Amino acid sequence: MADVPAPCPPGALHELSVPEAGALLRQGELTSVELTRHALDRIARFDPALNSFVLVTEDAALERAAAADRDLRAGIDRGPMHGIPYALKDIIDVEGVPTTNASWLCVDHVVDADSTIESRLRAGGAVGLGKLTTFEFAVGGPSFDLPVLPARNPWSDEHVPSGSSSGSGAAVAAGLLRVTVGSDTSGSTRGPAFHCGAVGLKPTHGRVSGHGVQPLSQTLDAFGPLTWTVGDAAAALQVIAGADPGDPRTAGVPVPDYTAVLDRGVSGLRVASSPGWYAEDPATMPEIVTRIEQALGVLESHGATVDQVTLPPYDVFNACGRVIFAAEAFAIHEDELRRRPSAFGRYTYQRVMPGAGIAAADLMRAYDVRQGLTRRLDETVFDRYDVLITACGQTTAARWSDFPEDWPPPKLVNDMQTIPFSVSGHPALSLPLGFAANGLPIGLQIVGRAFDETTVFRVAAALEAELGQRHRRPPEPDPIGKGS
Amino acid sequence: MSDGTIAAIEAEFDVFTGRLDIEVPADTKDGVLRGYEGLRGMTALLRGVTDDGVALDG
Repeated sequence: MADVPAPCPPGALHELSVPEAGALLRQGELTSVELTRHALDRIARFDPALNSFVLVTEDAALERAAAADRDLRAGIDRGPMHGIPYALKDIIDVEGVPTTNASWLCVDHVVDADSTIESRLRAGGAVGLGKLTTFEFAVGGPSFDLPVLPARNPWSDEHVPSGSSSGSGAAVAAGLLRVTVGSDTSGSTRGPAFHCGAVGLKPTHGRVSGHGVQPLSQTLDAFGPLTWTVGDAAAALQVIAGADPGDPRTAGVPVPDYTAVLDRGVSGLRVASSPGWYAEDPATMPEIVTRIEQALGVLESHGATVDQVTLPPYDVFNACGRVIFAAEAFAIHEDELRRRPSAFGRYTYQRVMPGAGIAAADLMRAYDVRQGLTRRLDETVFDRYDVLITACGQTTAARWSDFPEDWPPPKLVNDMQTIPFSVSGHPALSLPLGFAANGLPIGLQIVGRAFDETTVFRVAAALEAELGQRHRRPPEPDPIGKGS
Repeated sequence: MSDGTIAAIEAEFDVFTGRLDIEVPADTKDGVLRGYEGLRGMTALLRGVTDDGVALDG
């Protein structure tokens, strides 16, 4: 149980972690309506410059907050997200509002049922604030030919927030709210978390249901929290995790109490590191290498053992993931690519259409290699170690000028090392650990055994406590109008 | 398999899209072919490794 904090000044409620806010709610020192009004006020003031929300459901949010308060007064506690505001990437269905997928193809697509993620948060007493900006179908962006403008990076007008859960990263970093849920197919949660200085978790494949979520690549897609702190992510995963009859890919693996392990420390844990993937690559910023070394030193000083390991070649993981991604994404959109090509954004079309050229034999080859790589990763790392520490991004956020108007650059994101664990399915968390010399966030990636998010959270919480700089926020955006 | 020139890659890709009855708009063709060229390199790489990623000629 988290220590009960002192009551927080009204102007800084967004700095309360989910466990802290939850404790105050249960003490009667804070109401969910206050917390929700605070978040709505910050969205109204700052989001015109950030574009992180595509829809704010203010009235529904205040009704749910009032209901959460009534429940607590009646002694009904629905869990770690009770009374806590959150928002969802706009590929995740919420009954009665559009899931636009940031696409002209879906802009009026009001859905008639909740996704499992939304229904679990609703049942958990959490307070939905609305829908968050994404790339089109979680792949086509950053683009200016879509129904919504791309989200901005709160740390810099000149840099992108990464994607595709770009609204999630921007909103959390700017302190509009603490908890969002995104999707991650090759790094779409971990990337925006890394480049916006937030925590992003891709859970084990099968840990969180994708029922009611627009798929991008069915066997690579995973769904998880993007939040300000590790404790926030643990609380959110607690609510959304678990088997779901609506998604046959989910597994019947019990969901442990993630929030109970955060202060257990790392003594006795065995940690693998893999500098071979990034440290000698000239594309990696020296500050990132140094920060990862510092983090490994912190873990050793707290009683963990750290060994270097040699992983299967990164390029093979990357090729495997890209081929599967391309073939599956094309298959999902094939019909509309044939019938209405001009309805797609230019980036989306040019990223998805090449998958038409993947032969069945090549896709099967990629699936075979995927199995082999995953087995080798388990034998090399997870049969002997509790977690793997590696780079998440190799550089700070890309510039807007890196993205030509007419055609997308060849890589989906900026030198990320996230795709290997989308291929293998292991849980992987992007942890912010300070800033590069250019003032932009940097961090690392913590990878765990399949379905062992618990140990990933333990390690992340220990590093966050020592190196996390969670007190440092970007400058508040211009509250009057759009940024440049 | 084509000889890897842009014209050959385009001809190869056109076979796939022709089978699928898909016409790629002219103003996106260059970007699509660039993406397809990258994927060809990746499929070739996967054909050149064992299932667990070891190069066959290594």
